[in-house]
Amino acid sequence: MYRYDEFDAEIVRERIEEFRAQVERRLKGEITEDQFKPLRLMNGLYLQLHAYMLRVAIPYGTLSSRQLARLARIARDFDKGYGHFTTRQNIQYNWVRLVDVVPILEALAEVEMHAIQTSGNCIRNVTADHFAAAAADEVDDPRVWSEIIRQWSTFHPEFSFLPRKFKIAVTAAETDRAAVQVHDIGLHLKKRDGKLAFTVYVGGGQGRTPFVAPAIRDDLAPEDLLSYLEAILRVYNRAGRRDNLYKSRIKILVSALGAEEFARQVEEEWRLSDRARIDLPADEEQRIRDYFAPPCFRTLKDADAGFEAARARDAAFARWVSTNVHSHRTPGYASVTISLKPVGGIPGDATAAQMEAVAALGKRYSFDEIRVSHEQNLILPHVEKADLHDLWQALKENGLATPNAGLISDIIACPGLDYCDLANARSIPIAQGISNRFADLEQQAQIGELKIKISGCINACGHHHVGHIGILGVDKHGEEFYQILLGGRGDERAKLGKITGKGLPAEAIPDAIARIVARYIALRTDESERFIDAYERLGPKPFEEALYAEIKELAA
Amino acid sequence: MSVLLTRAGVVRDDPWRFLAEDEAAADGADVVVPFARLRAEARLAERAGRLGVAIAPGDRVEEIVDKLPALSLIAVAFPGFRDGRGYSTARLLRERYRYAG
Repeated sequence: MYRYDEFDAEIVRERIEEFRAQVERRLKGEITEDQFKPLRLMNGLYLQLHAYMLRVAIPYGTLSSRQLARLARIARDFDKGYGHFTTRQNIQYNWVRLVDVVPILEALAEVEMHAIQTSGNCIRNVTADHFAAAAADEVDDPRVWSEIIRQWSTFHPEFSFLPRKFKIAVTAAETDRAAVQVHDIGLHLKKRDGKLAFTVYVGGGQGRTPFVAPAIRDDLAPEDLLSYLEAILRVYNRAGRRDNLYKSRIKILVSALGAEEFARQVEEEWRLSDRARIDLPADEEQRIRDYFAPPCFRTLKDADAGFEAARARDAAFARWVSTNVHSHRTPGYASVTISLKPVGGIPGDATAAQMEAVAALGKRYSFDEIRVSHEQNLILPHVEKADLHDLWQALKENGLATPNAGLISDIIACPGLDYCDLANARSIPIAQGISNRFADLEQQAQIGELKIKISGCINACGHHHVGHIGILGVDKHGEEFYQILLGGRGDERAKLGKITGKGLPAEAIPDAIARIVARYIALRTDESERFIDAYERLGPKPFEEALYAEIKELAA
Repeated sequence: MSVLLTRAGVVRDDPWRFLAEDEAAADGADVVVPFARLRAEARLAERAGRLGVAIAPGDRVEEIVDKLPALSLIAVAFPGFRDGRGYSTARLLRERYRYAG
């Protein structure tokens, strides 16, 4: 794992001292909330509906046990005993008091963490595949490149006041688990003619004007990455719109110019740039790469007799294995999804005790490493198969063994109107309603992979555009309604969901989803045809009919 | 009222005068002209007194590259601190066009 050098530690410390003075002036009333706003937003501190919210960066979703234990302690000491893991692999504390913010930042700095660049119009925390360095279909560790980007983009003198926020995601596996094509820049590292090359997607994003990003390059040599990113960012910084908040993301610029013309401008800028000055020398890349050296895996046979016996003996364990345990590139090991989606729970929330438990289990069973997935779950990337049954029992004791990874109740939801200042409607109760409607885990397993994503407003923090079923909360004359989208996906074949007919009230959503699911079950060729496959084969019509069937009856 | 700061501190007798679009450049005075005037008025550099240019966030510095040797001052404007275009302008001037003034 990457460790701070003295330079990193020093700038974080200086930033805390600067913010301490700013907070003191605000507490004494020497500056107004309006004057304080740009200062706190430089430090990840938002003012939400009920309280301040602090967003803490978890670079590419990788945590050590010590760091996760510290996040737990902060939740216990300074929040209401829990934290919320986000779709950007970060954690948010929803109930912090202003007077506690500096002590929290100090506690974070002790474990090499901070809240810098988690807000504002800068390059935000870089996200990456949560199975990095474990997935069999990977050509390189995406975190090496993510860390290079993190260092380059932190306090970047030219790109700290962009037209709008800027999100970069990296994957190096065939299956895209980082949704790179719906980011401002998505980097997909692939093998091309035996050499590594980035496919560079630019101008994707969700929000009120969603786009799947076009690829402007499919053969970028990794050593040219930073100069090429600088060229993209410079074109955007200079030409991106600043007159209209809703048109200021890079996707609007790419779409206005056309991908070809945008690519031409980037190439021209890149051609003129002093690449030697910007790109990382090979020894520096190697220095960073060394931080991500794989753990000392034991030499094991892939099949473990004890594990197989436990699976045969214990049906509940077997069910959990079938959904939450993923194959690992190293024989005898597996990756584990720790679901933060208990039936009827709040997606992405974890209590301090749960975080402490996962921290301890990560230390014991996964080489001291824990990941946060953009799907708001925690991951233990490197677990010996022989340990899986013990691990499962420990997770169960902490309410963390819900066997639903990838299933209908593994829902992404934004905080919504329960917390968020921007929301039009609540998201969490909708997720809970669906989760309760499908509480039967046997039934969930029979339905198979189905990704539901819920946003409480058009800003789409809950990724509703790329849900197999997406749900968008809207406000109609003071009442919450929910628009349903079908057929979106955020993987390597990213597609935006299609908006169906008129919105439904909250109480109608669980049944509406159940009707869509029933239609899918009736139409699928067999259990191997997932919902999204069936949708792509059959088109929206049968599912829309099912969705609105009952409503038509009521109207007739 | 703007104050001229250099690395040495506050300059009390700021010799530079920012000219409006239609304001004549007095001979011998140190003047800063708007970007458009620098491009349009070919003879500005021929007068006595130093010449500078004010670059607004949207101005493209590429368009005045041929005039850079004649400029003693380039004022990159930041009308609001959230508008970061000036940083790109500044970097291009220093790194690509080697402006050292």
